[in-house]
Amino acid sequence: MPSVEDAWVTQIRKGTLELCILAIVAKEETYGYAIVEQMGGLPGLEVTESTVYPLLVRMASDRLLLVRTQKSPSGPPRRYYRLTPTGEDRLLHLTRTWQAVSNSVERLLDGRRVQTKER
Amino acid sequence: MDTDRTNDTDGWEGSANLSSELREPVDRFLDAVELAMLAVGSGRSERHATIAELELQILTMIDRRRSEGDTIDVTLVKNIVDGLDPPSAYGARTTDQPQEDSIPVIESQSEERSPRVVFWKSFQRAVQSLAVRIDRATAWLGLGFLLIGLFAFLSNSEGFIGGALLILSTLLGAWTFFRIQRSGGESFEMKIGAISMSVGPLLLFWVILVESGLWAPVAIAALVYVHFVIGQTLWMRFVASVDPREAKSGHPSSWAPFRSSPMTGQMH
Repeated sequence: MPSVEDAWVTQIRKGTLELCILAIVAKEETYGYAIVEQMGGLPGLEVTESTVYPLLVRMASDRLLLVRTQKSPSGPPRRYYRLTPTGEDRLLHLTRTWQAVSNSVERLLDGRRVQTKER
Repeated sequence: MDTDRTNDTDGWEGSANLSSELREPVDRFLDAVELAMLAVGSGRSERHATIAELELQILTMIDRRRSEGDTIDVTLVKNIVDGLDPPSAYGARTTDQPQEDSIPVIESQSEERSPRVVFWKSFQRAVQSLAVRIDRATAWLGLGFLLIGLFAFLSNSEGFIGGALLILSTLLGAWTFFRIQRSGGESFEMKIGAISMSVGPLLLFWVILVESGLWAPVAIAALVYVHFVIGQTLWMRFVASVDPREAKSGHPSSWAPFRSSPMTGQMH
């Protein structure tokens, strides 16, 4: 059974995952495995394919991403993702929210450090 | 980062042409993932798209290993598959994932189908969906006949109607049970079918043994057996004719029942 801390980290990652995927796809049209590799290499995120692929599918279903299939010599058609206008709006909204939350939390943490030092 | 290859000079023609021996662990893993997703009610499009992504990842990883000079054999393929998230990881619904086939796809360059194929696939899906409903309804009908038949038999000295209903219950129960069971479904209706199938003949055998002679139950047993053999043969042929990835959610063809377990990936 995961500890409270583990559960908290999981929730943080889960909550930011959609924002991260939107940010990656916003840079350029890309495919699933490339997204998995990019996110897997980011400290703190470390998500894997079992998390990314179902979410990509859901985001496509929610019209946040457009899918273009293209033949691949490696096997089944490769699915390339790019942002829709709805996805761009969503990215903008999530980015603003993230920055506001991040700034506020950062300020609180800084305050706590000051208090700790004063004691 | 794209390492896909279309030509080769040493006999390896790219992952798309994996031999059946190399494909086997890949397919087994993908089937297990699909089953795990099915177990949590993922829609067909969601499963299909996720499996396609996963398959491409595996094949791309194989190609990379090959380009690094590794020999592609079963051990290497298994190592790659073992390094991925286990199928059970796909069985946890983390978000309000879609249930409907509503994924927008544009500029499809690979799935050109003739009108005849499209019509045939649509027809198969319609029949599949209907067949599952019929199985479930048949299971409940069999249980109903079992209860009514028992009551009628015990309340009627001649017992003809009750006997007929018990026979009917047995046939319906056998039909339902084996169709659902052989398709890998762990459903409530399968248990209902099992009750009808097993309790019906026992009651009938006991009552007929008391009421008449021994030949009647033998004839009934033969009838049930013939029914089972014919029904099973037709059903299995139908299931085998449908691509699991084309099957409707919940249909036996989409469960890939004889290949692997969703949790362990082991062959049955």
